[in-house]
Amino acid sequence: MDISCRFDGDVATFDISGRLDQDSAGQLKAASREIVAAGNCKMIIDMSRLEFINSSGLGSLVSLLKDIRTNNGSLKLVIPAPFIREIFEITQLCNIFDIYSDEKNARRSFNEALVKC
Amino acid sequence: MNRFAFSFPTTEMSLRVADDIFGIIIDAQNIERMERHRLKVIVSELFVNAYLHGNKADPAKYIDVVLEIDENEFVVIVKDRGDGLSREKVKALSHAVVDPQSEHGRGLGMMHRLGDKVDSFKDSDGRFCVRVAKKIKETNNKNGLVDLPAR
Repeated sequence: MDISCRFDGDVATFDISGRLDQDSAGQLKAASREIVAAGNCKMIIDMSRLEFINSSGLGSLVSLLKDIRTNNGSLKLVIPAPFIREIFEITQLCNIFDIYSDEKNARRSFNEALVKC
Repeated sequence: MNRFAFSFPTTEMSLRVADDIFGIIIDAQNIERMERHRLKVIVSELFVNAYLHGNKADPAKYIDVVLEIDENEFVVIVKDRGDGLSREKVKALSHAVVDPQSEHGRGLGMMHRLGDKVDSFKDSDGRFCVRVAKKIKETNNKNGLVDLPAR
C-alpha cells in the first residue's frame, strides 16, 4: 500500500492506494495516529486508488474512527469504486462511516457539520 | 477447468506471497472487476483465518490452497492443521452480528456473503478444510487480462 498525507487548512487527507489488508493495516494505523496525536481531528481517507480491502483493512479503519471520535474529531471516507463500497455495505460499516464518492463532497461536509452546530 | 494447488508455510511472508499469487490468477480470468474483487476477498479471508486461527501462526505448519476455476464457477479450498470448527459453528459465526465498533470478526461473514456456498470438513489426512464455491460470469472485456496487484 502507498500512503501519503496532505493538509488543506485543518483537514488532513490521506491518499491510499494498492491494498489495505493485514500487511498494510498497521501502516495506516501508525500514520494516522501520528496525525491525530498532533491534534488534527478532521480527516479524509481518499480510497479512490485502492485496489483491494479485506476485514483486516476494515479493522484498521474502525480503529482509526474510534481514535478520532475519542478526540472529538471527524473522519470521512472517499470511496468511488463500487467493488470497495460493496465491502462496506455487506459488513454494514456504511452505517458508521461517512462515505462520499468524491473528495470535494467529503470536504464540503465538514463545513455543513459546522453550520449545523 | 483450471486447477491450481499451493502449499505455504505459515509465515508472514506467505501472507504477502499468497495474496500476490492469488491476485494474479484471479486477474488473469475473464471476469468483471467487481467479481474479481469478491473472489480475492474470499481467498484472502480464508487464508488469513487458516494462518491466525488454524495454524496459529506456527511456521512449522502448512496451509494448502486449491483453486478450481471454470467458465461457470470458482472454487477455493483452504486446508490447515488446526482443530477446526464444526459446520454449525462456522455457520453461526458467519451469521453473527458483529459490533460495529469491533476491529475484528468480520472475515467469516464477508466470505459467506460474497460466496455462494461455504462448507467445512476434515479431509482424510485430518486437515481442517473450508471450501467456498461461487458462480461466476465472464465479461466481454478481453483486454488487460493481467494487471499485477499494487502493493
